[in-house]
Amino acid sequence: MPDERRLRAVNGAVPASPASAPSGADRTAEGQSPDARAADRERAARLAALMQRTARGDTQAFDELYTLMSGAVYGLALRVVRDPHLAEDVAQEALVEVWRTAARFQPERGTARSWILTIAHRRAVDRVRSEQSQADRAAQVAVEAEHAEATDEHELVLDSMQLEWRAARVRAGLGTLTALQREAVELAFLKGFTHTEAATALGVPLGTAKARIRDGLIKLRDALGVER
Amino acid sequence: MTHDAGGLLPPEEIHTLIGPYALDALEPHEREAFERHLDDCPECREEAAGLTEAAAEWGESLATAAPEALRAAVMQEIARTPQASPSSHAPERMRARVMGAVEADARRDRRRFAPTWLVGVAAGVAFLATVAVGGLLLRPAPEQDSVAMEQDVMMTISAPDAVTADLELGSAHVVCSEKMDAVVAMGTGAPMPDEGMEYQLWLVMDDGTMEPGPTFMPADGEFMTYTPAHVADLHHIMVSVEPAGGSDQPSGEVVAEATV
Repeated sequence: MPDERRLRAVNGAVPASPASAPSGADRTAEGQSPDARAADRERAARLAALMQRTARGDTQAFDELYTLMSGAVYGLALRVVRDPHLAEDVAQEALVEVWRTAARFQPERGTARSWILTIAHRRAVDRVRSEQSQADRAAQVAVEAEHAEATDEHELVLDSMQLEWRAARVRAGLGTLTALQREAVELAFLKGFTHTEAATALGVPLGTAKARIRDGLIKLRDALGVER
Repeated sequence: MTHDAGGLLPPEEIHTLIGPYALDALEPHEREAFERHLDDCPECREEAAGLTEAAAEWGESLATAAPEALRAAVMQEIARTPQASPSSHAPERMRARVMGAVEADARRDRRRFAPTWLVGVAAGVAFLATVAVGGLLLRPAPEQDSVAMEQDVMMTISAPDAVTADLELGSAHVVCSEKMDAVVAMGTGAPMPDEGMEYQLWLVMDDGTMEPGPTFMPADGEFMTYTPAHVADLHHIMVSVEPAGGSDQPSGEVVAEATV
Protein backbone atom coordinates (compact mmCIF):
# COMPACT_ATOMS: atom_id res chain seq x y z
CA MET A 1 0.00 0.00 0.00
CA PRO A 2 1.44 3.39 -1.02
CA ASP A 3 0.79 4.97 2.38
CA GLU A 4 2.60 2.21 4.19
CA ARG A 5 5.64 2.47 1.96
CA ARG A 6 5.64 6.19 2.40
CA LEU A 7 5.56 5.80 6.17
CA ARG A 8 8.51 3.47 5.92
CA ALA A 9 10.51 5.80 3.76
CA VAL A 10 10.17 8.83 5.98
CA ASN A 11 10.53 7.15 9.33
CA GLY A 12 14.22 7.58 8.83
CA ALA A 13 15.46 4.92 11.16
CA VAL A 14 13.82 2.03 9.36
CA PRO A 15 16.76 -0.23 8.51
CA ALA A 16 17.64 -1.42 5.02
CA SER A 17 18.14 -4.96 6.23
CA PRO A 18 16.82 -6.93 9.21
CA ALA A 19 20.37 -7.22 10.52
CA SER A 20 20.60 -3.57 11.38
CA ALA A 21 17.26 -3.48 13.16
CA PRO A 22 17.39 -3.22 16.95
CA SER A 23 18.02 -6.78 18.00
CA GLY A 24 15.88 -8.59 20.53
CA ALA A 25 18.74 -8.60 23.00
CA ASP A 26 19.02 -4.81 22.91
CA ARG A 27 15.31 -4.22 22.97
CA THR A 28 14.97 -4.08 26.73
CA ALA A 29 12.02 -2.59 28.49
CA GLU A 30 14.37 -0.12 30.18
CA GLY A 31 15.74 1.55 27.09
CA GLN A 32 16.69 1.43 23.49
CA SER A 33 19.73 0.37 21.55
CA PRO A 34 22.18 3.20 20.83
CA ASP A 35 21.20 3.08 17.13
CA ALA A 36 17.55 3.54 17.93
CA ARG A 37 18.30 6.39 20.31
CA ALA A 38 20.36 8.17 17.68
CA ALA A 39 17.58 7.66 15.14
CA ASP A 40 15.06 9.12 17.57
CA ARG A 41 17.25 12.15 18.19
CA GLU A 42 17.70 12.69 14.49
CA ARG A 43 13.98 12.50 13.96
CA ALA A 44 13.33 14.90 16.83
CA ALA A 45 15.81 17.37 15.36
CA ARG A 46 14.16 17.06 11.97
CA LEU A 47 10.73 17.72 13.42
CA ALA A 48 12.00 20.74 15.33
CA ALA A 49 13.56 22.17 12.17
CA LEU A 50 10.33 21.62 10.25
CA MET A 51 8.39 23.38 13.01
CA GLN A 52 10.69 26.41 12.76
CA ARG A 53 10.21 26.63 9.03
CA THR A 54 6.48 26.10 9.37
CA ALA A 55 6.36 28.97 11.85
CA ARG A 56 7.70 31.21 9.12
CA GLY A 57 4.94 30.15 6.73
CA ASP A 58 6.86 27.48 4.83
CA THR A 59 4.08 25.26 3.45
CA GLN A 60 6.54 22.76 2.05
CA ALA A 61 7.96 22.22 5.52
CA PHE A 62 4.44 21.81 6.85
CA ASP A 63 3.69 19.28 4.11
CA GLU A 64 6.68 17.25 5.27
CA LEU A 65 5.54 17.63 8.87
CA TYR A 66 2.19 16.25 7.74
CA THR A 67 3.89 13.23 6.21
CA LEU A 68 5.78 12.51 9.40
CA MET A 69 3.03 13.17 11.94
CA SER A 70 -0.39 12.75 10.34
CA GLY A 71 -0.48 9.06 11.18
CA ALA A 72 0.26 9.74 14.82
CA VAL A 73 -2.26 12.60 14.98
CA TYR A 74 -5.01 10.61 13.28
CA GLY A 75 -4.24 7.35 15.08
CA LEU A 76 -4.34 8.98 18.50
CA ALA A 77 -7.55 10.85 17.65
CA LEU A 78 -9.10 7.62 16.42
CA ARG A 79 -8.18 5.76 19.58
CA VAL A 80 -9.77 8.42 21.75
CA VAL A 81 -12.89 9.33 19.77
CA ARG A 82 -13.41 5.84 18.30
CA ASP A 83 -15.33 7.05 15.24
CA PRO A 84 -13.21 7.39 12.04
CA HIS A 85 -15.13 10.38 10.67
CA LEU A 86 -14.89 12.22 13.96
CA ALA A 87 -11.21 11.32 14.14
CA GLU A 88 -10.66 12.76 10.68
CA ASP A 89 -12.33 16.02 11.78
CA VAL A 90 -10.25 16.17 14.95
CA ALA A 91 -7.07 15.39 13.02
CA GLN A 92 -7.76 18.16 10.53
CA GLU A 93 -8.49 20.69 13.27
CA ALA A 94 -5.35 19.65 15.14
CA LEU A 95 -3.09 19.84 12.11
CA VAL A 96 -4.46 23.25 11.14
CA GLU A 97 -3.85 24.42 14.69
CA VAL A 98 -0.26 23.16 14.43
CA TRP A 99 0.12 25.32 11.35
CA ARG A 100 -1.61 28.32 12.87
CA THR A 101 0.30 28.33 16.16
CA ALA A 102 3.66 26.93 14.99
CA ALA A 103 5.47 30.07 16.19
CA ARG A 104 4.41 29.28 19.76
CA PHE A 105 6.33 26.01 19.85
CA GLN A 106 9.19 26.48 22.30
CA PRO A 107 11.96 23.90 21.80
CA GLU A 108 13.25 24.43 25.35
CA ARG A 109 9.89 23.37 26.79
CA GLY A 110 9.64 20.01 24.99
CA THR A 111 9.86 18.15 21.69
CA ALA A 112 7.96 19.04 18.53
CA ARG A 113 6.35 15.62 18.60
CA SER A 114 4.93 16.07 22.07
CA TRP A 115 3.77 19.59 21.22
CA ILE A 116 1.93 18.33 18.14
CA LEU A 117 0.44 15.30 19.86
CA THR A 118 -0.65 17.40 22.83
CA ILE A 119 -2.64 19.59 20.45
CA ALA A 120 -4.15 16.49 18.86
CA HIS A 121 -4.87 14.77 22.16
CA ARG A 122 -6.48 17.83 23.73
CA ARG A 123 -8.80 18.27 20.76
CA ALA A 124 -9.68 14.59 20.85
CA VAL A 125 -10.53 14.59 24.55
CA ASP A 126 -12.47 17.85 24.23
CA ARG A 127 -14.51 16.21 21.50
CA VAL A 128 -15.12 13.07 23.50
CA ARG A 129 -16.15 15.05 26.55
CA SER A 130 -18.65 17.08 24.62
CA GLU A 131 -20.01 14.17 22.63
CA GLN A 132 -20.73 11.91 25.56
CA SER A 133 -22.00 12.36 29.06
CA GLN A 134 -19.84 11.06 31.84
CA ALA A 135 -22.34 8.36 32.73
CA ASP A 136 -22.18 6.95 29.24
CA ARG A 137 -18.41 6.86 29.33
CA ALA A 138 -18.28 5.21 32.75
CA ALA A 139 -20.59 2.49 31.42
CA GLN A 140 -18.41 2.12 28.35
CA VAL A 141 -15.32 1.49 30.46
CA ALA A 142 -16.47 -2.01 31.42
CA VAL A 143 -17.64 -2.96 27.93
CA GLU A 144 -14.55 -1.78 26.14
CA ALA A 145 -12.04 -3.48 28.40
CA GLU A 146 -12.83 -6.75 26.65
CA HIS A 147 -12.38 -5.30 23.19
CA ALA A 148 -9.12 -3.48 23.88
CA GLU A 149 -6.78 -6.18 22.66
CA ALA A 150 -8.69 -6.84 19.46
CA THR A 151 -8.61 -3.14 18.55
CA ASP A 152 -4.84 -2.97 19.12
CA GLU A 153 -4.26 -5.72 16.56
CA HIS A 154 -6.48 -4.08 13.96
CA GLU A 155 -4.89 -0.66 14.25
CA LEU A 156 -1.38 -2.04 13.90
CA VAL A 157 -2.05 -3.63 10.51
CA LEU A 158 -1.11 -0.54 8.51
CA ASP A 159 1.99 0.36 10.54
CA SER A 160 5.54 0.08 9.38
CA MET A 161 7.89 -2.24 11.17
CA GLN A 162 9.34 0.53 13.23
CA LEU A 163 5.95 1.66 14.47
CA GLU A 164 5.19 -1.93 15.48
CA TRP A 165 8.39 -1.94 17.44
CA ARG A 166 7.46 1.33 19.15
CA ALA A 167 4.06 -0.07 20.03
CA ALA A 168 5.70 -3.13 21.53
CA ARG A 169 7.99 -0.92 23.63
CA VAL A 170 5.04 1.08 24.90
CA ARG A 171 3.10 -2.06 25.76
CA ALA A 172 6.12 -3.37 27.62
CA GLY A 173 6.42 -0.02 29.40
CA LEU A 174 2.76 -0.01 30.38
CA GLY A 175 3.33 -3.52 31.64
CA THR A 176 5.57 -2.13 34.39
CA LEU A 177 2.62 -0.27 35.92
CA THR A 178 0.43 -1.80 38.59
CA ALA A 179 -3.03 -2.75 37.41
CA LEU A 180 -4.51 0.21 39.30
CA GLN A 181 -2.04 2.67 37.79
CA ARG A 182 -2.63 1.33 34.32
CA GLU A 183 -6.36 1.60 34.74
CA ALA A 184 -6.05 5.22 35.85
CA VAL A 185 -3.71 6.37 33.08
CA GLU A 186 -5.78 4.60 30.44
CA LEU A 187 -8.98 6.26 31.62
CA ALA A 188 -7.29 9.61 31.39
CA PHE A 189 -5.26 9.19 28.24
CA LEU A 190 -7.28 6.83 26.07
CA LYS A 191 -10.76 7.74 27.22
CA GLY A 192 -10.36 11.42 27.90
CA PHE A 193 -11.55 11.34 31.49
CA THR A 194 -10.54 14.29 33.65
CA HIS A 195 -8.81 13.20 36.84
CA THR A 196 -11.96 14.14 38.76
CA GLU A 197 -14.10 11.96 36.49
CA ALA A 198 -11.57 9.16 36.78
CA ALA A 199 -11.68 9.32 40.58
CA THR A 200 -15.47 9.04 40.44
CA ALA A 201 -15.42 6.20 37.92
CA LEU A 202 -12.83 4.29 39.95
CA GLY A 203 -14.51 5.06 43.26
CA VAL A 204 -11.37 6.49 44.83
CA PRO A 205 -10.46 9.82 46.44
CA LEU A 206 -9.19 12.53 44.11
CA GLY A 207 -5.71 12.42 45.63
CA THR A 208 -5.48 8.69 44.94
CA ALA A 209 -6.47 9.15 41.31
CA LYS A 210 -3.91 11.94 40.84
CA ALA A 211 -1.16 9.88 42.47
CA ARG A 212 -1.90 6.75 40.44
CA ILE A 213 -1.82 8.77 37.24
CA ARG A 214 1.45 10.46 38.14
CA ASP A 215 3.15 7.32 39.44
CA GLY A 216 1.99 5.32 36.45
CA LEU A 217 3.29 7.91 34.02
CA ILE A 218 6.61 8.09 35.85
CA LYS A 219 6.99 4.33 35.43
CA LEU A 220 6.16 4.57 31.75
CA ARG A 221 8.63 7.39 31.32
CA ASP A 222 11.38 5.41 33.05
CA ALA A 223 10.58 2.22 31.13
CA LEU A 224 10.80 4.07 27.84
CA GLY A 225 14.06 5.70 28.88
CA VAL A 226 12.75 9.16 28.02
CA GLU A 227 15.64 11.60 27.74
CA ARG A 228 15.32 15.20 28.74
CA MET B 1 -12.12 14.28 52.27
CA THR B 2 -10.38 17.07 50.41
CA HIS B 3 -12.15 17.83 47.20
CA ASP B 4 -11.28 20.52 44.73
CA ALA B 5 -14.90 21.30 43.89
CA GLY B 6 -13.55 23.33 40.98
CA GLY B 7 -11.90 25.76 43.41
CA LEU B 8 -8.28 26.83 43.64
CA LEU B 9 -5.73 24.43 45.04
CA PRO B 10 -3.49 25.64 47.83
CA PRO B 11 -0.05 26.45 46.38
CA GLU B 12 1.68 23.44 47.95
CA GLU B 13 -0.81 21.12 46.25
CA ILE B 14 -0.61 22.47 42.73
CA HIS B 15 2.23 20.04 41.95
CA THR B 16 -0.19 17.14 42.38
CA LEU B 17 -1.85 18.11 39.10
CA ILE B 18 1.26 17.24 37.16
CA GLY B 19 0.26 13.70 36.17
CA PRO B 20 -3.21 14.65 34.94
CA TYR B 21 -1.69 17.69 33.21
CA ALA B 22 0.60 15.49 31.12
CA LEU B 23 -2.41 13.41 30.06
CA ASP B 24 -4.68 16.39 29.36
CA ALA B 25 -6.93 15.24 32.18
CA LEU B 26 -7.54 18.65 33.71
CA GLU B 27 -10.46 21.03 33.41
CA PRO B 28 -9.54 24.23 31.50
CA HIS B 29 -9.27 26.38 34.64
CA GLU B 30 -7.08 23.75 36.31
CA ARG B 31 -4.86 23.56 33.27
CA GLU B 32 -4.45 27.33 33.18
CA ALA B 33 -3.60 27.41 36.88
CA PHE B 34 -1.06 24.66 36.43
CA GLU B 35 0.51 26.34 33.39
CA ARG B 36 0.90 29.54 35.41
CA HIS B 37 2.61 27.41 38.06
CA LEU B 38 4.93 25.98 35.41
CA ASP B 39 6.08 29.51 34.58
CA ASP B 40 7.46 29.71 38.13
CA CYS B 41 8.58 26.16 38.87
CA PRO B 42 11.58 24.67 37.04
CA GLU B 43 11.22 21.31 38.81
CA CYS B 44 7.67 20.87 37.62
CA ARG B 45 8.65 22.05 34.13
CA GLU B 46 11.34 19.39 34.02
CA GLU B 47 9.05 16.64 35.25
CA ALA B 48 6.13 17.76 33.08
CA ALA B 49 8.34 17.67 30.01
CA GLY B 50 9.41 14.07 30.73
CA LEU B 51 5.87 12.90 31.48
CA THR B 52 4.49 14.65 28.41
CA GLU B 53 7.19 13.00 26.31
CA ALA B 54 6.21 9.58 27.69
CA ALA B 55 2.59 10.34 26.79
CA ALA B 56 3.71 11.38 23.30
CA GLU B 57 5.59 8.12 22.85
CA TRP B 58 2.43 6.32 23.94
CA GLY B 59 0.32 8.43 21.61
CA GLU B 60 2.61 7.87 18.66
CA SER B 61 2.55 4.13 19.21
CA LEU B 62 -1.14 4.30 18.26
CA ALA B 63 -0.35 5.79 14.85
CA THR B 64 -2.31 4.59 11.88
CA ALA B 65 -2.31 5.94 8.32
CA ALA B 66 -4.63 8.91 7.97
CA PRO B 67 -7.29 8.82 5.25
CA GLU B 68 -5.87 9.94 1.89
CA ALA B 69 -8.33 12.84 1.58
CA LEU B 70 -7.05 14.44 4.79
CA ARG B 71 -3.86 15.83 3.31
CA ALA B 72 -5.58 17.91 0.64
CA ALA B 73 -8.22 19.07 3.11
CA VAL B 74 -5.57 20.24 5.55
CA MET B 75 -3.39 21.93 2.92
CA GLN B 76 -6.38 23.75 1.52
CA GLU B 77 -7.42 24.97 4.92
CA ILE B 78 -3.98 26.23 5.90
CA ALA B 79 -3.77 28.19 2.67
CA ARG B 80 -6.49 30.42 4.09
CA THR B 81 -5.35 30.31 7.74
CA PRO B 82 -3.12 33.12 8.99
CA GLN B 83 -0.48 32.19 11.51
CA ALA B 84 -0.26 33.44 15.05
CA SER B 85 2.68 35.24 16.60
CA PRO B 86 4.90 33.76 19.32
CA SER B 87 2.78 35.18 22.15
CA SER B 88 3.05 32.91 25.14
CA HIS B 89 0.11 34.39 26.96
CA ALA B 90 -3.54 33.47 26.70
CA PRO B 91 -5.77 36.27 25.40
CA GLU B 92 -7.48 36.36 28.78
CA ARG B 93 -4.31 37.33 30.59
CA MET B 94 -3.62 40.11 28.16
CA ARG B 95 -7.19 41.33 28.54
CA ALA B 96 -6.71 41.53 32.31
CA ARG B 97 -3.65 43.66 31.80
CA VAL B 98 -5.36 45.88 29.27
CA MET B 99 -8.36 46.44 31.53
CA GLY B 100 -5.92 47.42 34.27
CA ALA B 101 -4.41 50.00 31.94
CA VAL B 102 -7.86 51.29 30.99
CA GLU B 103 -8.80 51.68 34.64
CA ALA B 104 -5.53 53.44 35.44
CA ASP B 105 -6.11 55.74 32.51
CA ALA B 106 -9.67 56.53 33.65
CA ARG B 107 -8.41 57.37 37.14
CA ARG B 108 -5.86 59.73 35.62
CA ASP B 109 -8.58 61.41 33.54
CA ARG B 110 -10.67 62.12 36.61
CA ARG B 111 -7.81 63.72 38.49
CA ARG B 112 -6.88 66.28 35.88
CA PHE B 113 -8.28 68.30 33.06
CA ALA B 114 -8.32 66.01 30.07
CA PRO B 115 -7.16 67.46 26.78
CA THR B 116 -8.63 65.93 23.62
CA TRP B 117 -5.64 63.74 22.93
CA LEU B 118 -5.95 61.99 26.29
CA VAL B 119 -9.51 61.08 25.43
CA GLY B 120 -8.19 59.71 22.18
CA VAL B 121 -5.68 57.59 24.07
CA ALA B 122 -8.33 56.29 26.46
CA ALA B 123 -10.42 55.39 23.46
CA GLY B 124 -7.39 53.71 21.99
CA VAL B 125 -6.88 51.68 25.13
CA ALA B 126 -10.56 50.76 25.28
CA PHE B 127 -10.34 49.83 21.64
CA LEU B 128 -7.35 47.68 22.44
CA ALA B 129 -9.38 45.98 25.16
CA THR B 130 -12.11 45.20 22.65
CA VAL B 131 -9.61 43.85 20.24
CA ALA B 132 -7.90 41.81 22.96
CA VAL B 133 -11.18 40.17 23.91
CA GLY B 134 -11.51 39.13 20.30
CA GLY B 135 -8.20 37.33 20.56
CA LEU B 136 -5.64 39.83 19.35
CA LEU B 137 -2.27 38.53 18.33
CA LEU B 138 0.93 40.44 18.79
CA ARG B 139 3.70 40.26 16.28
CA PRO B 140 6.91 41.24 18.06
CA ALA B 141 10.24 41.50 16.27
CA PRO B 142 12.10 38.21 16.63
CA GLU B 143 14.48 39.54 19.25
CA GLN B 144 11.72 40.93 21.42
CA ASP B 145 10.20 39.07 24.30
CA SER B 146 6.44 39.08 23.85
CA VAL B 147 5.83 39.75 27.53
CA ALA B 148 8.05 42.83 27.45
CA MET B 149 6.32 43.93 24.27
CA GLU B 150 2.86 43.77 25.78
CA GLN B 151 4.07 45.93 28.64
CA ASP B 152 5.68 48.39 26.24
CA VAL B 153 2.47 48.63 24.22
CA MET B 154 0.47 49.20 27.37
CA MET B 155 2.81 51.88 28.61
CA THR B 156 2.99 53.62 25.25
CA ILE B 157 -0.72 53.89 24.70
CA SER B 158 -1.35 55.06 28.25
CA ALA B 159 1.64 57.42 28.44
CA PRO B 160 0.69 60.95 29.51
CA ASP B 161 2.11 62.46 26.31
CA ALA B 162 0.69 59.84 23.94
CA VAL B 163 -0.62 61.18 20.65
CA THR B 164 -3.05 59.28 18.44
CA ALA B 165 -3.60 59.60 14.72
CA ASP B 166 -5.79 57.73 12.27
CA LEU B 167 -4.17 55.17 10.04
CA GLU B 168 -6.02 54.05 6.95
CA LEU B 169 -5.42 50.34 7.19
CA GLY B 170 -8.87 49.02 7.93
CA SER B 171 -9.97 50.98 10.96
CA ALA B 172 -6.69 51.81 12.64
CA HIS B 173 -4.63 54.20 14.73
CA VAL B 174 -1.05 54.92 15.49
CA VAL B 175 -0.10 56.01 18.99
CA CYS B 176 3.22 57.74 19.64
CA SER B 177 4.85 58.80 22.87
CA GLU B 178 8.01 60.86 23.20
CA LYS B 179 8.38 59.79 26.82
CA MET B 180 8.34 56.13 25.79
CA ASP B 181 10.11 56.88 22.50
CA ALA B 182 7.84 54.36 20.90
CA VAL B 183 5.13 53.93 18.27
CA VAL B 184 2.20 51.53 18.33
CA ALA B 185 0.06 50.81 15.28
CA MET B 186 -3.14 48.87 15.68
CA GLY B 187 -6.42 48.27 13.91
CA THR B 188 -9.23 46.04 12.80
CA GLY B 189 -10.67 45.19 9.44
CA ALA B 190 -7.31 45.23 7.69
CA PRO B 191 -7.22 43.24 4.47
CA MET B 192 -4.76 40.37 4.13
CA PRO B 193 -1.79 41.15 1.93
CA ASP B 194 -1.19 38.93 -1.08
CA GLU B 195 0.38 35.56 -0.45
CA GLY B 196 4.03 35.73 0.48
CA MET B 197 3.70 39.42 1.42
CA GLU B 198 3.49 41.20 4.75
CA TYR B 199 2.77 44.72 5.93
CA GLN B 200 5.75 46.73 7.08
CA LEU B 201 5.83 49.86 9.18
CA TRP B 202 8.19 52.69 8.22
CA LEU B 203 9.29 55.69 10.29
CA VAL B 204 9.79 58.80 8.16
CA MET B 205 11.87 61.27 10.12
CA ASP B 206 11.83 65.06 9.93
CA ASP B 207 15.08 65.01 7.96
CA GLY B 208 13.57 62.68 5.38
CA THR B 209 15.33 59.50 6.44
CA MET B 210 13.23 56.38 6.23
CA GLU B 211 13.72 53.85 9.00
CA PRO B 212 12.40 50.31 8.56
CA GLY B 213 9.98 49.20 11.23
CA PRO B 214 8.56 45.79 12.07
CA THR B 215 6.54 43.61 9.72
CA PHE B 216 3.09 42.52 10.79
CA MET B 217 0.10 40.53 9.59
CA PRO B 218 -3.59 40.82 10.40
CA ALA B 219 -5.36 37.92 12.03
CA ASP B 220 -9.08 38.06 11.24
CA GLY B 221 -8.39 41.64 10.20
CA GLU B 222 -6.90 42.61 13.56
CA PHE B 223 -3.31 43.72 13.98
CA MET B 224 -1.06 45.41 16.43
CA THR B 225 2.62 46.25 16.21
CA TYR B 226 5.11 48.15 18.31
CA THR B 227 8.45 49.76 17.57
CA PRO B 228 10.88 51.94 19.48
CA ALA B 229 11.34 55.28 17.70
CA HIS B 230 12.86 58.70 18.29
CA VAL B 231 9.44 60.31 18.33
CA ALA B 232 10.66 63.90 18.70
CA ASP B 233 12.20 63.69 15.21
CA LEU B 234 9.43 61.63 13.69
CA HIS B 235 7.53 63.23 10.85
CA HIS B 236 5.10 60.55 9.80
CA ILE B 237 4.47 56.82 9.72
CA MET B 238 4.00 54.75 6.63
CA VAL B 239 2.78 51.21 5.96
CA SER B 240 3.71 49.34 2.82
CA VAL B 241 3.30 45.82 1.50
CA GLU B 242 6.63 44.01 1.34
CA PRO B 243 7.81 40.46 0.71
CA ALA B 244 7.49 38.29 3.84
CA GLY B 245 10.35 39.01 6.21
CA GLY B 246 10.43 42.72 5.33
CA SER B 247 12.75 44.97 3.33
CA ASP B 248 15.43 47.53 4.03
CA GLN B 249 13.80 50.06 1.76
CA PRO B 250 10.14 50.30 0.84
CA SER B 251 9.73 48.38 -2.37
CA GLY B 252 6.05 47.66 -2.38
CA GLU B 253 2.82 49.58 -2.48
CA VAL B 254 2.36 52.19 0.24
CA VAL B 255 -1.05 51.49 1.70
CA ALA B 256 -1.35 53.97 4.56
CA GLU B 257 0.25 56.99 6.14
CA ALA B 258 -0.28 58.78 9.42
CA THR B 259 1.12 62.18 10.32
CA VAL B 260 2.16 62.80 13.89
